[in-house]
Amino acid sequence: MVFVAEIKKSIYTYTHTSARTLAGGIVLLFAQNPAELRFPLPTSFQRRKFATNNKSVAPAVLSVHFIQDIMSGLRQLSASLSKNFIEKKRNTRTTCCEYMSHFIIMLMLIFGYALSDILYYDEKIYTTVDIQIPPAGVSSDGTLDIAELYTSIVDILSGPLTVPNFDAYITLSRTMSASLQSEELTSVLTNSEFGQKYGNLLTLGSIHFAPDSSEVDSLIDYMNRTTTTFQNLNFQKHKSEGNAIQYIQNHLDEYTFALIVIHSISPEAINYEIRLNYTTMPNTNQIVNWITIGLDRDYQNYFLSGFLTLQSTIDDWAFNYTDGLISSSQDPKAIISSNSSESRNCRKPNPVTMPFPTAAFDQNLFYQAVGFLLGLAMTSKG
Amino acid sequence: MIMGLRDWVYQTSWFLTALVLFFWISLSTTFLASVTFLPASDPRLLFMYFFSFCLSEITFSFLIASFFTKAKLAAIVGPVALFCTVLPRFVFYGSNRYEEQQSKYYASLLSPTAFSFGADIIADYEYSGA
Repeated sequence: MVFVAEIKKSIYTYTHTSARTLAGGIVLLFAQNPAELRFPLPTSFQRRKFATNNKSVAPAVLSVHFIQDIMSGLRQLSASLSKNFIEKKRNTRTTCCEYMSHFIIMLMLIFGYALSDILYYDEKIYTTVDIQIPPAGVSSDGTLDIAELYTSIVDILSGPLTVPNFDAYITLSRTMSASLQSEELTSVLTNSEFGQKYGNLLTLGSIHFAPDSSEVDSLIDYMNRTTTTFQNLNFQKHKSEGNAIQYIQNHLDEYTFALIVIHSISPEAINYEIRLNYTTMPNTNQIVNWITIGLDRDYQNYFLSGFLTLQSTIDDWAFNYTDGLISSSQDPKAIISSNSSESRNCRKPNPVTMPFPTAAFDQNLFYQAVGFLLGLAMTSKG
Repeated sequence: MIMGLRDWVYQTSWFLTALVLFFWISLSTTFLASVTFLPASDPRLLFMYFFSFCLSEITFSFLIASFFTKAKLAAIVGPVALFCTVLPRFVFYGSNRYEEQQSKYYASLLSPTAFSFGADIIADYEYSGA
C-alpha cells in the first residue's frame, strides 16, 4: 500500500512535470526519465522483480503499473504530437507543399475535363437499314474514302442481320483479302484493334477438325458436297482437341480460321465446340455489360468472325447426319423419337438478329481518354 | 528507443500527424472531384475510397521507413517505390474487369494498384453516366 501511495504521488508529479513542459515539446521526453523526478521509480526491470518477489500484492501492483505505463505513453504521445506540430509550424513552406500539392494534379484533371467535349446522341431504332449502291465512300471514279466507307459498313452492320452461309462468308473474305493486295497492309491491319475484329475476313486461315472420327469425316464430306468454297480451303484433321491446340500454337505463322471439335452426336443431342481466335470474338468472361450506353457493337463479332456461319453449317450437317442415323437405326428408342412429331418438326432455325432500340444519351470522352490514367494521377496526388 | 520513447507512441504520433494531412487531402479531393469530373458518384463513397487509400499509404510509409536509416535516401526511394506499386495495374491493361480475377486480387494487395482498379471502375460508371 505504501508503494501504491508512492506511485499515486509520482503520477501526480508526472502530471505536473508534463504540464510544465508540454509547451517545450521534446523536453518532456528528458523529464520523463525517472532519475530526474523527486520520487524515483523502479525501472521496468525492477518493477518486474518486485512483482515476482511479492506475490500477494503482485496483481494490484501490475495493474497500477499498466495504468502508469499507459499514462506515461499518452504523455509521451502528446509531447511527440506537440513536437510534430511545432515542426510543421516552423517549416511553413514544406507544410504548405504537403497540404496543397494535390491540388496541382486535381487542377490538371479538372482542366482536362473542362476541355473535353460532350457528345449527344438521339434515341435510335435499328429495324431498317439503308444500303447504297455503290456504297458511300466509293466515288464513281473508283477512289475510296475509307472513313466514310467504314461508317457506312458500321451502319449496315448495326441493322437487321442474317447469318451468311459458308460460301457467302468465304467469298466475302476472299474479296476483302484480295482488295488489300499488299502484305504490309495486311500485317498492319491484323496487328491493329480494327484488323483483329475483322481478322478472319481479312486473313482467312485453315480449318482444323478433331477428333479423328467417323463423325468428323462425315462433316468434312458434307461440307465438301454442299459448299463450293470449302474445297479451296486448307483443312487438317487431328487425333484429339489437345493435339489440335498444340499444333495451332506451334504453328502461329499459319493463319487459323477455326478449330471444330465434335464431342458427341445422337438424334437427341449434339455436343460440339467451335474455337476461334480470341481477338476475333466477343469476350465471354463478361456475360452482361452492365455499364454501357448506346449500342454495344461487340455482338457483331459473332457475324464478322464467321462463328455463326460455322455454327449454322455444323447444325445443317447435324440434322442431315442424324436423319441418316435414324433411318438406318434398329434402336427402338431412336425409332420412337424419330416418329415423335416434336423431334422431326425440329429444324434448324434461320435467325435474323436486330439490336434493341437505344435511348438518347450523352457521352463525355474525358473518361475514355484518361480513364486508365485516372488511377495513376490520383495515386501521385497521394 | 533512445530517451525511453515507446515504440507505439512513436508510430501513433506519426500516424496521427499523417492522418490530419490525409484527412484534409481526402476531403478536398472528394469535394473537387464531386463538383467537377465525378458528378454522378456518391461523395461519401468517394471520400471513403480516397481516405482508405490514404490510410494505406501511411502504413506503406512505415514499411518503407523500416528499411532506411537515412531520411534523405528514404525520401528519394519512397515516391519511386509508391510509383512502382501502381505498375502491376498496367500488366492487366488489356483485360476487362471479369478476366484474370485471381491475379488481380493478388495484385490488389498493393494498395495503389487496387486504387487504380477502383479509379477504372469509377471512370467506367461515370462514362456511362450510371
